[in-house]
Amino acid sequence: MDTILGMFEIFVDDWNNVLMLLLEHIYMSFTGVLFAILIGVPLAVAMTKSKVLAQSIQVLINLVQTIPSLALLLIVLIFLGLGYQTVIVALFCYSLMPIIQNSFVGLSNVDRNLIEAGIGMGMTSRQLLFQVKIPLSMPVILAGIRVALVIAVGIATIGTLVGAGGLGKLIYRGIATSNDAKLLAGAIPAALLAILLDSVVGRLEKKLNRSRRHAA
Amino acid sequence: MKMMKWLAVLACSVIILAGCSKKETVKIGAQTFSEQLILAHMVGLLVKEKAGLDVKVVSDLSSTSFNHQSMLNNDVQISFRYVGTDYTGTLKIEEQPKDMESALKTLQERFKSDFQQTWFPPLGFENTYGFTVRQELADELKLETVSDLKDAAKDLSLGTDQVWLERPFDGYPAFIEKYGFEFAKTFPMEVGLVYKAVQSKDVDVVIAYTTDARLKEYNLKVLADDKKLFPPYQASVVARDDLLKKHPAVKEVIDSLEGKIDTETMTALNYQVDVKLEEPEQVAKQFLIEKGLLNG
Repeated sequence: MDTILGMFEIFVDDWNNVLMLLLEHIYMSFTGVLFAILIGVPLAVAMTKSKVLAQSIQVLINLVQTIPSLALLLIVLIFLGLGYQTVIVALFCYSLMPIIQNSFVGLSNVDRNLIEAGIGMGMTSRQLLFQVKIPLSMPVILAGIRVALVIAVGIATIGTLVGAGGLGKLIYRGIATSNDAKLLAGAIPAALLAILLDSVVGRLEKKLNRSRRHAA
Repeated sequence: MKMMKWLAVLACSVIILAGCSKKETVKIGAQTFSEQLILAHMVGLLVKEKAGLDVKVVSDLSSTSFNHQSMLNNDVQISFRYVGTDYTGTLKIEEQPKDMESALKTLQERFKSDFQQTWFPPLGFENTYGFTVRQELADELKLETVSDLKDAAKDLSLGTDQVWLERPFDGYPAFIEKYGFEFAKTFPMEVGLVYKAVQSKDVDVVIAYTTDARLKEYNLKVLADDKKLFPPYQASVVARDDLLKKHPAVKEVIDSLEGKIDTETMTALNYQVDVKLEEPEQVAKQFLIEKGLLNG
């Protein structure tokens, strides 16, 4: 009980520090995932056009996923040094797999009849992509983004080990000083952030699913 | 789309904010344990006050090699090291140094020529590794030295920091060779956890850092290293020469700390942070004021 009280004490007394670390945490996770979306979705589109490309990219992203997070962070560190950029690149690597995988599956499984209908209406392939395929596979793509965000928030906690701050700083400080209140002051906001993002994106997904059903 | 816009705004604003502090900032590295953070703030406060430079403490660097790599990359310009760790780890010298003076001399020469860094004279305290057990266990098995563990070791588990098991010349491989026995199981962990781990009987023996105040607080006993596995681990400051050349005041500041912190003092400072849960920066400031190095 004292630990929980101690945690709230930290939130009250040191709120600007906790807030700063939370913002750093959000910044790193969001930026990593954002880059993964910007690169991953176009890649998935390209993958639907070429089987060879699809297979080789899948092998590659699965390979990246097997590297332990601390090891990946150290590999990136050699090239980029201490700071946000190292963590962001690592989070980008981990976010690629769920985003590419889901986008690829979503785009490949769009109802053939709807695509035929689009072609029949004289749509160009660009129109077909932006007005039929992407909107229809949006819920599946979003599900991938949701997974990527939750993973990113989790992994960003070790960002402090490469000088990038984030909520992990409180967690590691808590461990170093056997201060459980401080540990929780980092861990609980990080967990809540992950849950919050999961439910917000999940709700968005549902909404899109519903509107798609209405349209169809 | 709206979310994207917000994301972009957030990303830009943080990048701009991060860019603002890029003028002339001295970055001081600290590893994960509190002693390093206290020392980093000590030097930080002095550099800010006496040399008029901006200071950032980069905390939680996970090991000495990490620390060293960051110094080479110029991601940090000042860090805190221990004679034995740099001697056997960073410079990878296999033979034990004859004594403190010769070890220090080697470090100073090699750091200057190989890395263009200055290894400063010791701060005055030693933080060595210590084989540590609960007092009850020491009484029960009549343990005084590490060699006394020999017969019991096959039933005992050993907790260590993240890297000790891997350190070839002063770590587990060297230990096995020198003492001629192994423990039943080994558990590497974050070093801040080993004290609680041994106290709560999760493990039986831990490799502790001897300046940690929790040794006394948790009633733990450090066994004597009778076969001299560990070289001396006097602590000191290492700084990049380009920084010292550009700002001679930084060198003066670091020199002013030489011999100022004995082992007892360091342990007391660690006590304030690890047991009393005070903030490292406050503890560092208080110390500097008491020593007359900083005006209150």
